[in-house]
Amino acid sequence: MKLSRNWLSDFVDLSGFSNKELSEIVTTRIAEVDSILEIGPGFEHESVKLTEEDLIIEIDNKSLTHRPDLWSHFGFARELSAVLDRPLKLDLDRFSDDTAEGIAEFSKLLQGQEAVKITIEPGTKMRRMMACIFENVEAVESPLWMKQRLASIGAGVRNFLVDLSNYVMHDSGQPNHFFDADKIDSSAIWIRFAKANEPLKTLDLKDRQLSSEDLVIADKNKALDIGGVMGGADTSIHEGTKRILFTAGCWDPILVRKSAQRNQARTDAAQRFEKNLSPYLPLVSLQRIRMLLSEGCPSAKLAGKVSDVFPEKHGPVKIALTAKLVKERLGDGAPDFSKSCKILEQLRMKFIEKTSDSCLIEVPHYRATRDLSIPEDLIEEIGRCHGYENIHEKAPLIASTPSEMPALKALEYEICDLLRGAGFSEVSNYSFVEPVYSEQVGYPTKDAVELANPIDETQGALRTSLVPGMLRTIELNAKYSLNFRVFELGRRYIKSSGSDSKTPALERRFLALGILVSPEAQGNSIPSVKNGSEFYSVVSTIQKIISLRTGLKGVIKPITSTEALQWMHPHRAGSIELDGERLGVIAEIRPKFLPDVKGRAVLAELDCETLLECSKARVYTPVNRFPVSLFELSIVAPRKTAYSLLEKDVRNGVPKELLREIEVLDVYEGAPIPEGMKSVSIRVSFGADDRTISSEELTALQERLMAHVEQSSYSIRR
Amino acid sequence: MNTQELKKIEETSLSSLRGANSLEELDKLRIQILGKQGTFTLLLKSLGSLAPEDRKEFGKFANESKVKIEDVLASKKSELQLAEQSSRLESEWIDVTLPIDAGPASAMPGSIHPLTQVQRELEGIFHGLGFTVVDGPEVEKERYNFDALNIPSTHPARDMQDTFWTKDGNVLRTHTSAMQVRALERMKPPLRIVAPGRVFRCERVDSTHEHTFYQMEGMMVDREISISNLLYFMRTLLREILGFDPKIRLRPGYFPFVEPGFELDIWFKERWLELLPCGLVHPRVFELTGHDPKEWQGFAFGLGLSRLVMSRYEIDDVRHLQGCDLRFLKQFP
Repeated sequence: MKLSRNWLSDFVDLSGFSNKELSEIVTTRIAEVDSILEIGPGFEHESVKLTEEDLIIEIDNKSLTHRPDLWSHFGFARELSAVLDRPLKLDLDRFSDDTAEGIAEFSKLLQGQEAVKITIEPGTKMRRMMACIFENVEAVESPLWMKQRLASIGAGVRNFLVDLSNYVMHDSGQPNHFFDADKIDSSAIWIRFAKANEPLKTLDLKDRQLSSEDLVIADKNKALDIGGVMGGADTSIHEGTKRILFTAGCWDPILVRKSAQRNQARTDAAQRFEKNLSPYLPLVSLQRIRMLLSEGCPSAKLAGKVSDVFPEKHGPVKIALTAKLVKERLGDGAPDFSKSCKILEQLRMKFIEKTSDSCLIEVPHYRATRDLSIPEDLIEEIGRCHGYENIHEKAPLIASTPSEMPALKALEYEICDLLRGAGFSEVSNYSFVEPVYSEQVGYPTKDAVELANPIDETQGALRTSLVPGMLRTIELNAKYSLNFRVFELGRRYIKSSGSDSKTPALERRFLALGILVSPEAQGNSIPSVKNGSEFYSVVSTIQKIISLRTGLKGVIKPITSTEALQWMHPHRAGSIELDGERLGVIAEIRPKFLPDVKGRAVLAELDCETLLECSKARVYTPVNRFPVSLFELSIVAPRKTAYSLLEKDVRNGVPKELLREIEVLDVYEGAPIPEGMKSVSIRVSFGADDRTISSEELTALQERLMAHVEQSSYSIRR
Repeated sequence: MNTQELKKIEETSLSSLRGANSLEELDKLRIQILGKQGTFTLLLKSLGSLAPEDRKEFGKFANESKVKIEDVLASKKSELQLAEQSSRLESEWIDVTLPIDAGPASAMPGSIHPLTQVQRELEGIFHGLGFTVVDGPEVEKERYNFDALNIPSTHPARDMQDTFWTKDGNVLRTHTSAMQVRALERMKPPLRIVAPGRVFRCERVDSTHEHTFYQMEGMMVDREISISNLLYFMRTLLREILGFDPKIRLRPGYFPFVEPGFELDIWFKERWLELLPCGLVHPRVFELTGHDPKEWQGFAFGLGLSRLVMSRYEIDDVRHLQGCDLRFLKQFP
């Protein structure tokens, strides 16, 4: 919302403050200033040229969400008058019929014949409706000052009647409307809900079909405007207008807000009504209009009496406040109670009771609709007018209690550090996925959380795995780099089926890691194992991660080609398990998902929460004092025998308590090993807890082991 | 030439194509049949010598035949390609269970996302001040994101934020303030918490707007909490983050879940910079979470983590943060 300094100065003396100072005062005491603009002669808007200097203050509307009283120049002037402790030059509040003066003035307008009969239909929640007819009006050109004021805040300029209505809204804060009284049946109006699909051409020249939830002002025949939102085009003021029907109402904020949304017309009027305007304002706007009409169009006169329907006057809002609360909430530097009361008085709170340390006040009507209702609201009023710069910092007196760091978070940070040390870079993907792509790579979205209003189709659902995002990340970075390592720690989301669950979706933290290795950079620590180095390197990184909390190694179980997900290389995929719990998966990315990429890429995904659940308490095991004996042998097995299986078979051949470790030394294929077979060389170490193993015992163990191996469908290479 | 002969050529062509065992063989057959000197091509060429009325009928027949041959060729081709692909993949079998190390590891360390780094630093600061770090869902019930924060469905403040809705009627949390409610429900006051995390607003992405960003909510609840206390913690926090003692100011700000509500600005590069929305916890929030507002008081604040990261590293395009581009991320070792 824009404010003109000159306009504000109609109401309150602002002399002595520079433009910058004024803007500072508004921001620190009242509401956020978005920007200020100094304008003067040379400034032009809709062909209206300014002749004077002015300052335009643009207020951030969001900061006025809770302040229905501040949507006008008078509203801000009243506030400045309180904050600066300067009297109002022109006080529009005295027009309102919650003052004796206002009631007296108003009673003069209630004499004579009824010109317009107002009927408010039930259910419309109309708080007040006021209407009257002015005769002998003329749609002349507006006076220059009025045009300049409107132009300075960027409003349109038409003719005096249209401009007057608009001016008074920006002046008093009350939206109001003039109908051409000769274009309607002005003898009676109704406030009612529109009929379903009732047609109305609005001021913006749109032909609309109203909904039965829209409110309208109607005459006997038809809807004349969308209540609280926008006037109709066919009944609007034009050059030949002679008689006008003035209407100003207090509409239900919720109904107006919904109507404005439905009709996509968040007009100045709707924006104000949805803030919950005071029902005493319509009269203020009427009096202001009469005042300005007599200046700009002296021939105009009220025909008959003013009609006013005010169905339900709400009782006054009263709030009790204690000196103790002010002190407690504001803290060090809070004003004393008499200063606090003075601030409330400047803000026009009425004191019903007052002692040295407590008071009961009544809130002025323009802030009584929701804005001020509890003592804390008054604390804010006192605090901001007193100036928060006067409040001093102070450490609270509190019990010293240890704070917690969630175990999952601690684990994740350790994983971060470990991976960073291993050359991995952390990425952060969006939570959104393209359902089609997700499905293509192997994650159907039937369990996904779908968005009702996504930005577009490519971001239509929440990810059920980090894999799709990681695939894209690898594809993206492969354009710039031949070798890289990336990881992501993030959530995946699964639709929750039970409605009683504490969270709407099942959210779980996962780790994804991926690497791309160019052909030149491939190679294993065992040179004769030519392939899969990128796979084995990710496995060893994962083993380090698993051992962080468990001290254990995970087990990689082959995933068969029929079980492999679409993104997985069907012969290079495995699941990662620990203690029989599935922690995640690892696989080379199927080449077709990385077209144009030369190297090989491997991707793994781990469930961080399951990993954390597998944590083991660390307990000391005695360090063995006796030497171990080593024994190497080469076993010939069919080429596709999984090493894990082979190792298990070997393990079964020796007493568990004597076996220390089995290490793989080499895997060899080729002559003289027969086609389709491989030779796996391993080193077995034996040891006992209570003695050194004798050479006889060792020989016996070796023989027992070899016999066992040969029985288990392998042969020993001698 | 007659239609019977044509039929015969078609049949032999189709059966030889169907019998192809490799892509090379298939390609050879294609040349033999449809190449420049291919059997079928020559046949079509011979159409010219026919009488016009025969040519029309025979031509139509020949074209249908050609389409059939081409179809079989195409389907056989994709079948063979698939077989070839899967046999190539099969030949790439590795023993996934083999416990060996790959060759030399990367000599250079990797990097940690700047958001993670800043979040971790802030958590450390708050941890030291006795705040517990808490976490909560990103797909949130309306109650936590709005209602219990004193934002009923009819409240105009709902329009202050563009909300993503899920098809089952929940929201992607628009602010970490939802965690105030979860903490008040789950924990017993007195409490001190910070809740960092991802939040969402339904906005199109450009260099200054993101639909996904990070915030850190903080809340302290105790028997006696004043604005003086809020100021004390905010200054301590800012001194730790910024590394110097900043000039700060509080001014009125509106958030339905605090009363009074503020914007906290710091004096930075010769102007006031809006940094921290904060305020005293609204009594209604205590009531809505089952606490007596006469007994408990508190303050709350929200830190824009993404914004903090951007200003700290002078990042001019917010899209970098979720962009996954290593040329950006590698700058944060």
